[in-house]
Amino acid sequence: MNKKIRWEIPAMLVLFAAFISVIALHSSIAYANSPNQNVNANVVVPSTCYLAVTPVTISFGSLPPGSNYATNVLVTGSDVDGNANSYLYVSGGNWIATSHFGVSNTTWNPTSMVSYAGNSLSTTPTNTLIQIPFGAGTSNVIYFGLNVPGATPAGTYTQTITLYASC
Amino acid sequence: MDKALAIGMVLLLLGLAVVAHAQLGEVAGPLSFNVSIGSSQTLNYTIVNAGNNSINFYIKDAITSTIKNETTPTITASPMNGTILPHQQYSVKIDVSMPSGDKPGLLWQGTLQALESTNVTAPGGAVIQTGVLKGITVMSSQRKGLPLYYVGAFVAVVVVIGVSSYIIYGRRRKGRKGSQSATTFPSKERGNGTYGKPSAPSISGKGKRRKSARSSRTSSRTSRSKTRRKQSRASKRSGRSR
Repeated sequence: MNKKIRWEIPAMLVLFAAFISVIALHSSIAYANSPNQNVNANVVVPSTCYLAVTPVTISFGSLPPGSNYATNVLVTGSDVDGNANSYLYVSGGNWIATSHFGVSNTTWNPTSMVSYAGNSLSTTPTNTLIQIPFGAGTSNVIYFGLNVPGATPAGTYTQTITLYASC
Repeated sequence: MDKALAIGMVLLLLGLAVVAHAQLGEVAGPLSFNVSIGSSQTLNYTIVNAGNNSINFYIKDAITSTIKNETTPTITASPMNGTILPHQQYSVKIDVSMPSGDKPGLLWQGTLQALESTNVTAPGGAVIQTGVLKGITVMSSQRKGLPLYYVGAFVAVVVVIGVSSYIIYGRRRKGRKGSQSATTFPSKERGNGTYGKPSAPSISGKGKRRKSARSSRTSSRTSRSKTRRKQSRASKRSGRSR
């Protein structure tokens, strides 16, 4: 009796394994040959903002010491590829040549002004509250002006103004 | 005529470049840190290039508020500069370390800037540089306690040391007691004149083992007196039987 049980159990196990293998092979072949295969894919698109500015250089011409330039020099910011509105921040550095004069002599304003006026530029980024809307065909503007302090030595001065998008 | 001339002069003075900077961007949302006192936390700041040209960027040191009599947390960015390929994103790791001497519940606010490196020059004018700016907040929180597994490991070590010490000490005490107590009297030696003598420790024939002096003296005294008593009893019995 015991001898009979011994060979029957392994035989059943082998048959069962063979059965499962056949089914699995059939399923894989059927799946591979199936014309309608679904693969689930996913992606997370985060809220993003960009900034492109134009022009990349501005000039205030030739200004004698003690004179100024009206706050009407235009710079445009746009965000073509973003999906989130952003705010424009601005900061700057000193005017530098062989000598230098301070960053605060440059002013900025959301609207064009007929005279030298507006907010003084600083080395620390300042929120202009100018919103840069996202999407093609949308943009916003900021204007700059300049005052050259009296007794400024003659020279060709350069400043770097940084515009940031923040979202 | 005068007006036209003035407009023309203004336009001339306004500058020449009309090509926009490449599109540098960032993923929206502030970076908020909640750091335990004496520890640090790292978050990713993701910047993006939506243009067709690579953008070289650099990170400017974070600007934060200060609190009187408290040490400002240290904020570091890694890497501090790099190149974002066209239509790619770049993750900069921002690490905030909270000094161990600060109090919990303090809040610092600041900004982190990623700027596009530019080679543009404008003699007699201003260069417009593009960047993205991220607001950061750092809050200090209570120092974390030891994790439970450290406590468990410590308790386990203490228990093991205690149990092993008890076992070792217990064995030593038993060993001492065994050498001090009266030894058994094997039945073989009874009635042969040596009745009552303590069983000698196994002697290989090459010499007696040394007992500890005190314990051997005590045990021999006890056994001698017992032996004498038993011998006297035995002699009395034998005297009677004759």
